[in-house]
Order: sequence, then C-alpha cells, then structure tokens
Amino acid sequence: MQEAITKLTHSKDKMQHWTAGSPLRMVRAISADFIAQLESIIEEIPGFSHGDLAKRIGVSLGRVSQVMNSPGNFTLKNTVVYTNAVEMNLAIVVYPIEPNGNGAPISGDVFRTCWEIAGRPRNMFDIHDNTVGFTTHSGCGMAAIGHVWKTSAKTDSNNQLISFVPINGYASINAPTITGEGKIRNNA
Amino acid sequence: MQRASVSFRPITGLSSPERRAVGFLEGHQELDAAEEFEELSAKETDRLLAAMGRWCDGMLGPKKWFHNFDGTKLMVFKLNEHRFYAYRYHPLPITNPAFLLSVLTIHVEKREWESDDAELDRVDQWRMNPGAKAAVAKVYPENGRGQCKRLSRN
Repeated sequence: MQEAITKLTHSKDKMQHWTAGSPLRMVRAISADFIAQLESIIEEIPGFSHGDLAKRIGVSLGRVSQVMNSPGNFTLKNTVVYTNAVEMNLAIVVYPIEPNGNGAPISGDVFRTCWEIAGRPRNMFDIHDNTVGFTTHSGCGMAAIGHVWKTSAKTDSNNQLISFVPINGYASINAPTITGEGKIRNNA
Repeated sequence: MQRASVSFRPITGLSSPERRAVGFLEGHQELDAAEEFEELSAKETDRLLAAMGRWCDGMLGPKKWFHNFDGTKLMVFKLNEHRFYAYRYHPLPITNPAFLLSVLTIHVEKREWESDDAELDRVDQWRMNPGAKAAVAKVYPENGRGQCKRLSRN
C-alpha cells in the first residue's frame, strides 16, 4: 500500500510545493532563504564569524545565533541591519506566479545572479542602454541578461528569437528558457 | 553483499523536481533518517526542507546547511546538532542522466568539531547495497529502456 502511495505521489509532476496554502510556511521559507544567503556570504569572507557579525550589529552572539538558527520572526528592519552588516544591500522582489510551476518560491540567489549577469544595472535606463529587451508569454518584462547576447541574437520575420551565440558562459545557462519563449524587442 | 529489504520514499513538494529530488531509504534499523526527520518540530522541518530545496535548486550551500564530502558521492544536511547523511545517485542514467537524487540514510546528533568518518563509511555501504538500488529503481524505473539498450550492445 505504502509503495502504491509513493508511486502515486511521485507520478504527479506538478506536486505542490511544501509552502503551498500556508502563509506561515512561506514566511519560513523566505526567511530561511534570506538566512541562507547571509550564511553563504559570511562563508565567503575569510575569518568572518557570527561573533564578528554580532559585534558589527551591536548585539550578543547568542542573539545572532538565535536569529540565524530560527529566523521566523525577522522584521524588515532587522533584515536591513543584518544585510548591511555583511556589506550587502537588500531588495524585495515581486514576481509573477508561474502557472506551470509547483509554487516553489524562487531564491534571492537566483535573482541576484541574474542581476550580476546583466552587468549590475542600477536602473531601467541601464537595462535599456545595454540590453536587447524581450517579453515573455507571461508578460513579465524584459530579459535582464540581454546584454550578454546583444550582438549575437538572431530573430525571424516575426521578431521571434530564433538563436543566439552566447558570448560568455552565463548565457548558455539561460539559453534554453529564452530560446523557447523570448521575443526580441528592438530598442534602437 | 547482502541484499537488504528496504524501500525508498521521495519527499514530495520540493523545488526543481524535474532536476533533483531528495528521499529516505527506509526498512532497516540503521536507516533512521526518516524516523528522526518525523520527530523534528514544525519549524525545524521547514528549515530542513528549505535546505533541501536549495540543494534541489542547484545551490552549493551554505556549507552550514549542507555540503558534499570531497572525493565521494556522499553529502550531509545539517540542522543545529542534527546530521542527516545521504548519498547522491543518478537513478535514470539512460532516460534522464542529469537527474540527481539525494538518498537520505542515517541520522546522528553531533557537534561541529566531531568527525563524520564512521557515518560516511556506513552511508557508503548503503550506496553500494543492491537492495537500496532496487528500492530506488522501483520509484524511478527506466521502464526497461536502459536494459534493452545494454542487451542490444552485447
């Protein structure tokens, strides 16, 4: 019986994410993602510890450990304070729910990586100046990675993206997604 | 090697299910990861699921949450003093060779400075156990396609 249930659950391709239908669990997931980003940054700073973080923030090590191990009730102010303490900035990103996804929240690491790949644009002008914009079927705007393949993208007579030659390694990571859905918008 | 009668239970509802999955190997007294996972509080469970989700999404850490062991196919998910040891396994080498599983096996409570050596040996034994491979294959079958290909070559 258990085996049958296991097979059944496994066969559902669009199994809902564990946070689905529970704002509390979604908050925990987002808080955990925030802490994971902080921990990853701390791990990249040689010799930097939670103790150093506590000193910079002006709280006890115990308080930092408590927050990092159980981040459920993080205030927005605290997220800013902790982020600034590791010399980073914070953005809150609102993005559309993917109709074909399982509702899993997308990590801030993914958004940050896209921003890095896009050459760290500071505003919409930077994006317009440096990218070939494109819209997706979900209508969620332009591709911030466009600058990577600005000079190599090819379109058909309907302005549909048909191919591009990646200029650096990052572009190839994103290529399958864009090739299928992207539509070139002429900025010139 | 003795063929253990064990089963594999995937954790449903994680992210990027088309790329990676995590699940429990169960059915032997040594395989206590699932049992210990069920004992966690709701908060702890969600924190561990978040770590598993990051692994499924292709992230490399933070190392305080999960990491591989160099030169092996073994890994660990960490939550405070909890250690959930697993091995990485490609269950569909023919039909979906990129798909990667993290097969959770044993749980240990330990501190940061304690060695993982003894646990890693045990996990590696399970990784090579034919019963464990069969249990995973029941959930992730190649539908015979892999076997046919191999036979046609011989």
